[in-house]
Amino acid sequence: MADFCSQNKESINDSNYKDSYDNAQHASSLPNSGTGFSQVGSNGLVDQSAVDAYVTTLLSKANAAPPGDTDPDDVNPASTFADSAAALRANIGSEYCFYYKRYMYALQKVLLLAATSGMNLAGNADYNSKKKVAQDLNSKLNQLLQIMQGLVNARTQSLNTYYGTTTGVNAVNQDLDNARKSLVEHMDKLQSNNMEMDVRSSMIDYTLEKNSSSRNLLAIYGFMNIVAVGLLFYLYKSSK
Amino acid sequence: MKEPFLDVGSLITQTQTLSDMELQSYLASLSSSQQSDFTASNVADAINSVKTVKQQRYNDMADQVTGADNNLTAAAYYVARTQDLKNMAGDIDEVAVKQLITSDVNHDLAGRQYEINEWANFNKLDTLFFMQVLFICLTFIAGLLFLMNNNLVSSSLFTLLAFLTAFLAAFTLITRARNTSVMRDSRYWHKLRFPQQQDPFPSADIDLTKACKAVNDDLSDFKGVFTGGTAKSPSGPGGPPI
Repeated sequence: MADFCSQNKESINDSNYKDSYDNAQHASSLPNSGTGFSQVGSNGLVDQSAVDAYVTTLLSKANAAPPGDTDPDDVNPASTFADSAAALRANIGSEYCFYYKRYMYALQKVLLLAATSGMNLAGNADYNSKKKVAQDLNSKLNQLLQIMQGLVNARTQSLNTYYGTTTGVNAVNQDLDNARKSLVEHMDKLQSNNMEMDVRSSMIDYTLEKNSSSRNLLAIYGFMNIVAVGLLFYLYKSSK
Repeated sequence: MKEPFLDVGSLITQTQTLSDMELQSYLASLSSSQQSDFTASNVADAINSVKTVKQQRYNDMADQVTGADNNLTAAAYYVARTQDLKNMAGDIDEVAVKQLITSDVNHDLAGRQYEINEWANFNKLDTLFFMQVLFICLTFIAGLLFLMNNNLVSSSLFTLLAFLTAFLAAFTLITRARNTSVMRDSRYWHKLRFPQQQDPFPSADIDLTKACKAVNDDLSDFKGVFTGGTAKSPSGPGGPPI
């Protein structure tokens, strides 16, 4: 099995196994500043509604909520979402690993103390302290798993919204179809207009040719009239 | 999602209580170092078991979260790309609409240009007609002049015919020019304009008194025939059967 915690090279000892993940370097994904849910059942489970409510807050805080249909400020909302969601997952994984290593340390100490202390366990302060810490760490690990389950549920709900009948994918598909229909309609009209324009252009060319022909005839008859006037003038002069 | 060793104290207590005698005797037979090794080995087994479970749970959940995020990212990309496509189609459609408007304008311009060219052409043909008439007249006068020079036509006849011919040419010129400038439509060559008819629908100026009297006179022959009733439903001996 792949070790999900191989990146964490931290050495755990008695001085740091009680540390909290929530500090200046990284923010905890657990509620109440990293201490976890205040209400945990005897079976170690947190009430689902509390988890769902906290997941909504966590997504908002991590800016990992799924992008809406219209977000004009964000050029590529999907990419932004992918990055923020990956960052959230990485942070949860890092925190899980943080507590996992400490839990293993505490558990090992507890078991060793239990195995070597004989029958006098209840009075062993070190054992009791480490057992309490181990229980807390285990609870945090379980809460983190529940938060991840809540995340999966939230993502599923978002996907359902994305693929709703009148929302998300179907809505933009409908818009795209409307735009396509409008485009096809206008293109058809444009093509028809272009054909009509070609006919009109040919008609104009034809009238230009007719004008040119008439102009030539006018020039010929103008010249012939000048010749006729000249002839008339010549005959008139010759008659005198 | 209950984890092993959730309540480590009770588990250890149960283990202590329920451990079998064989194990106790086995442990008693071991030396101190062997007991330590045995304990360490058992603790290591337990730790490894917990590690395996914790890792498996985390990996399963991480895979689910990653898959859900990837699905959502793919859907978001699909929506974004579809939105881009819609926007691009809208832009192209906008260009097409502008081209349609331009095409309509060009269509009107081309139509008008065609009308102008047609009008100009017919105007030229009209001028050509006058030029032909003028050419015929000039040729005719020249012929007459030639005949007069050869004493085949008298001077008075030449003057008469030349005057008539010149008059014909001038008349043609004036009538065609007036027709074009006054009566002809400025847009369509073959359409003529006429002065607007004044009062095209005269009022029905009917003297009702006279009209009624005339009707009465016409019906005088039927006096006594219709003794009662109304015009639409007369009654009397000659009236229609009721």
